[in-house]
Amino acid sequence: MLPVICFFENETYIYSTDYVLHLCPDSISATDFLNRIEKEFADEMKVVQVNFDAYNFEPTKHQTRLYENNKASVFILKTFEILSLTEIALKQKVNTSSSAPFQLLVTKNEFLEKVIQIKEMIAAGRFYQVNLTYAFKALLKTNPFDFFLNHQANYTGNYKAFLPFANHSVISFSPELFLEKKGLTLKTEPIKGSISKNENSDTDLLKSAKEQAELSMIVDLLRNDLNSLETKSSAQVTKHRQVMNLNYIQHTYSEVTIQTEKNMPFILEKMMPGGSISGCPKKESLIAISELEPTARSIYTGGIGFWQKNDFKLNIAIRTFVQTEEAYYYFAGCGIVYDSNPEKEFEELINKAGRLNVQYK
Amino acid sequence: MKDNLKVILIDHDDSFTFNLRHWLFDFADEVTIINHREVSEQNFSQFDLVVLSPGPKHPQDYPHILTWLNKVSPEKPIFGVCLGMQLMTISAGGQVESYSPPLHGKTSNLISGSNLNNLKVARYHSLKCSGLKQFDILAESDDLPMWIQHQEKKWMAVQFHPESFLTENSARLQHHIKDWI
Repeated sequence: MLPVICFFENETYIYSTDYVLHLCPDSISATDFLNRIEKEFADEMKVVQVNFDAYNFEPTKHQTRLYENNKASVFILKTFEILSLTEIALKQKVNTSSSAPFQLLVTKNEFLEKVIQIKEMIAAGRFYQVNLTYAFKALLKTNPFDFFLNHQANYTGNYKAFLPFANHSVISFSPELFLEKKGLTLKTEPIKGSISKNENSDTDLLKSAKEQAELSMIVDLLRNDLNSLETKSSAQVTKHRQVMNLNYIQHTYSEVTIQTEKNMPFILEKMMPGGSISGCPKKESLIAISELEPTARSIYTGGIGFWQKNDFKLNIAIRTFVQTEEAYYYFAGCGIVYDSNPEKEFEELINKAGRLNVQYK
Repeated sequence: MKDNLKVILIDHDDSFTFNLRHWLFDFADEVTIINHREVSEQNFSQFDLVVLSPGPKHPQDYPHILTWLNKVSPEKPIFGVCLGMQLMTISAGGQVESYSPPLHGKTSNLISGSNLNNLKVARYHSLKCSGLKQFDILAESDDLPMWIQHQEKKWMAVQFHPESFLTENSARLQHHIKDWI
């Protein structure tokens, strides 16, 4: 049985080979499914995965699905350990992974045209920002757990996870915290604003009016989504425009918190999908995403994390691979605003693949 | 100013509606949110203030709100934000045209004869209002109207976003709204 691995805290990970997987049936809502899980398994440590479109499936129905999966899944861990990745690597023999180029499933020209199209929609007042994403595909047959351990050092970030399903595996190297609830404090840390490591470092990123506005509007959006949970307490911006230094890219992020007694199923229903990977205003952006993107995001840009009693921590599933029997998929995207330069956005898309051998036409 | 102020907030499918609700909580006792599609069935008599939220697209995309604005009693206090101000502008015979380049998630300083002068405010708009013959312009920025008040009807509106975390000292505007109601 392949292990389940999920970020925990201070560079340690939840590791389990003794678990039961529960899948959300199509016939019930993700909220009903998670409420049932909470009722039955409140005290157990759980690893959770929720799709980008788990709560808003209708507009994505016409999109191509690269693989089949359930809108939400929960691994109930009967036993687990808290380990470092080094300790996990010692658990079993790790074989070298074979490699193959990752082909971008859109041409550069098509991508540039989409950015121009979005800018026209922004000028017409339809929205302020939309997150535009695409898939990369590699015809690669290699063990996904080996792949996770062999590639993890290429993507620094605090929210890594490995989830084995029957017909696919999820390998996430996310640097982004979607939601963390500890006691009554609920926190989100949206990332927006990126710069290549080859450019002039964090000062350029902090000086850019475009990158500043891109993050600020998402902070207002996440304040709104947190404020939707409560009437007695208000969302607070506790950090704004902090630099996150990853080994392949630099980002800015903010932190917004609120005090709430609400449980995870309720919070996710109100807040998914995350603002940083949708756009603003969110409803209109989600409609635009389903018109603009040819493939459904499913796991990508959803959330992955752990949940025990009332506390939970979920990432935004970016920098994420999905392994199927035929192929590996990787996904990347950019927030498009009116000031976006199409060529620069394309560079950013490629930068977000890190050291992956990518090809495009 | 009356006690127990009741506000109804008309949401135009916006992503800042709950920020606006929390901003209104600073001076309102109750805030009820309805969707813009429900406006024709709503009874507004029990509310002291109607607020028109910001939102996507052009005011002409909300003909039912324009119809409602044209027939609502001129004494009913209505406060508009961004799209809300643009809806009032169209209803009062003004123009709403595209504004290039749009300002989204950016700030500018107000120029005003009031104590809002020099305040840093958040802007999210790609459309601008003009032809505001029925309104007094209480504040401007970049030569655009930013805070307006109708000369006859009980209407007040802002183009900027008072509920944004980027806007400074918006309590001053809250005081003006309270006095005005």
